[in-house]
Amino acid sequence: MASTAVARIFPGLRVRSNRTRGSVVLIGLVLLLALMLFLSVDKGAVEISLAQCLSIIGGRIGLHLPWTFTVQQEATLISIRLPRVFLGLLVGAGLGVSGAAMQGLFRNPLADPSLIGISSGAALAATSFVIVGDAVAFTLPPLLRLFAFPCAAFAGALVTTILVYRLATIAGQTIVATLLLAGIAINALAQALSGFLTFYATDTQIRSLTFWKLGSMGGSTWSSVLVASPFILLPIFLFPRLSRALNALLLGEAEAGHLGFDIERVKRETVVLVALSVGASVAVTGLISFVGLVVPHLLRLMIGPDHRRLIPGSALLGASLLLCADLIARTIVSPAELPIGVLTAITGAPFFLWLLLRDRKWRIIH
Amino acid sequence: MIEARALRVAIGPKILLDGISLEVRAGEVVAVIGPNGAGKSTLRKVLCGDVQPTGGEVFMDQRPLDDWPLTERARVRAVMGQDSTLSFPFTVLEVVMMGRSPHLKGAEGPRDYEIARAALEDVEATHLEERLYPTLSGGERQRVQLARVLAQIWEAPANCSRYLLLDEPTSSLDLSHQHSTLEVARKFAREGVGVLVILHDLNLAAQYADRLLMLKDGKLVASGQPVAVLTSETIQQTFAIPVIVTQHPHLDCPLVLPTRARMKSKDEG
Repeated sequence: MASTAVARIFPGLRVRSNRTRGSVVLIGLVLLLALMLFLSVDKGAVEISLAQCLSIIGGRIGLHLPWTFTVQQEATLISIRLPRVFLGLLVGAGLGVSGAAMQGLFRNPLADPSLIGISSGAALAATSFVIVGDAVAFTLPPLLRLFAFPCAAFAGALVTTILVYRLATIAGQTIVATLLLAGIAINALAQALSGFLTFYATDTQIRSLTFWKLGSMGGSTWSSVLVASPFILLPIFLFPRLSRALNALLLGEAEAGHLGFDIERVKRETVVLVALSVGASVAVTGLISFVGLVVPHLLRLMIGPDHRRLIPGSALLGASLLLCADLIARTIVSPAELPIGVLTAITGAPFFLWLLLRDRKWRIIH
Repeated sequence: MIEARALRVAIGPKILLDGISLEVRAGEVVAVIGPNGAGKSTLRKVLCGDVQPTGGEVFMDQRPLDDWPLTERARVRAVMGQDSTLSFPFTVLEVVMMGRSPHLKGAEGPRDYEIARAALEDVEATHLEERLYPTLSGGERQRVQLARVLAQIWEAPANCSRYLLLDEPTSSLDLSHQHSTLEVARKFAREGVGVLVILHDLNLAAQYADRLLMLKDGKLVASGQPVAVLTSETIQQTFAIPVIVTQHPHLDCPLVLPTRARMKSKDEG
């Protein structure tokens, strides 16, 4: 199945093992990401060439480079475009990796953090924190407040993940129908509770929360980059250590245990790391759905399901995909801007439907 | 040696295993037989540590099973369960290579690939190497899983005995593969591996096992050499089916023939 898909995508490429093909694809993904980075910096309301970009950054660190640029270009690059690109990198990589790990944990390619309610749980916790916090005039020092928002989202994501796992997994077996239905219920509940909270919100809060929940990279600042990085970089660098255990877990929990893996620990670590990156992503960019579903899936078609390649691959492809989506979101209706979450949902939902209809052999829904 | 002493498993009022003691010594094949629901799989799960017994203890090489560090245990003991639910498109070779996990420090080396391929050869699945696991038939999957557990204990770590626990490894196999599977079990036993295998086919058990353990309602009803265990009385009492037990015409083992059949018996005719 995977090999035929690859043969279809690259007719000339007939590499025998997933492993060799994996290295080729990973190199391709690095190049793709480089291209997306370049385009993301270059394109926009103000055009900035790569040379000018180097000049501006060089100027900041005391290097004098020959290419000239305007003050406006400098301001745009430093305070708008670069933080946005970094945030896109972080969030895209984080969502890709957490999607891949989540699907390994649930042993099912449909377990996407947004589908099974984890993102909504994070969003609800973050919303409550803002509204309730403001209502009781709960004041924190600014820096702490900055970190408290993603922490609240993390807590929400963690609680939801544990809840969904408990609901959908009986004796080590995930019941996919229950998993998806639990996701529907949690999404509905989170929406209802958010609706309830809006009664207590001020008009400005409602407006900003609504836009935030649609998913937007519009408000990217260096401080959001700063806040999100520890939450997202930690999982990106720690997940590879769990790769072999996640592979074994796909055989079944008992089987993975017989291969010498401490399954309970692996599950706990996976849940916490997924919650960290989903929580932080939701906190800084709102609900961006389907990235965690689409990215690992496309990669499995190309390089197989081995997490040792899937996880770094998902980080790279997730980052590229989000940068690409953001580029489209901010240029397609320029000078206005489409919420990126709307864009990913418009493309991701049909993909999800296609997955459901395709290939019964995978038996993703029993 | 794997040794179980007075194992008891009870879930609420239901007793699944009742006072079972057994030994699996290095170099022998022990088959567990018994009707459905006799507790065979529960016994296997207790012996490999998946289920904690309500009473009794399991030792492996004189050491309580739970005292073994997980990786160390996985290097000397492999378990093949009844159903593996792998639905992700790994290739067959990748699945077998997972058996090497407990031995890996970093990436797999050429020796690991050699072992995985040799294990595939043992289960007559070399031609499946590049196939995707979810596209295999039930019998092919079962053989690939067997290759995975064989690859796991392919080589003995210094001064260690190895053990292989197989839960109905032949349930989806055709006649010839049923026999080749048990021949592989015997081959491992010759190399010093202690093998415990759960079987439904009494004649397979009779042909390949050194000793049989017959279970019914969680109790051990008979144990010993096939000739001693497989008598028409014990089989009729345990399985509730009339049988004739005779000597195998070509091999040195008993042959069990059920006599309840569609056809009338000659004597009655």
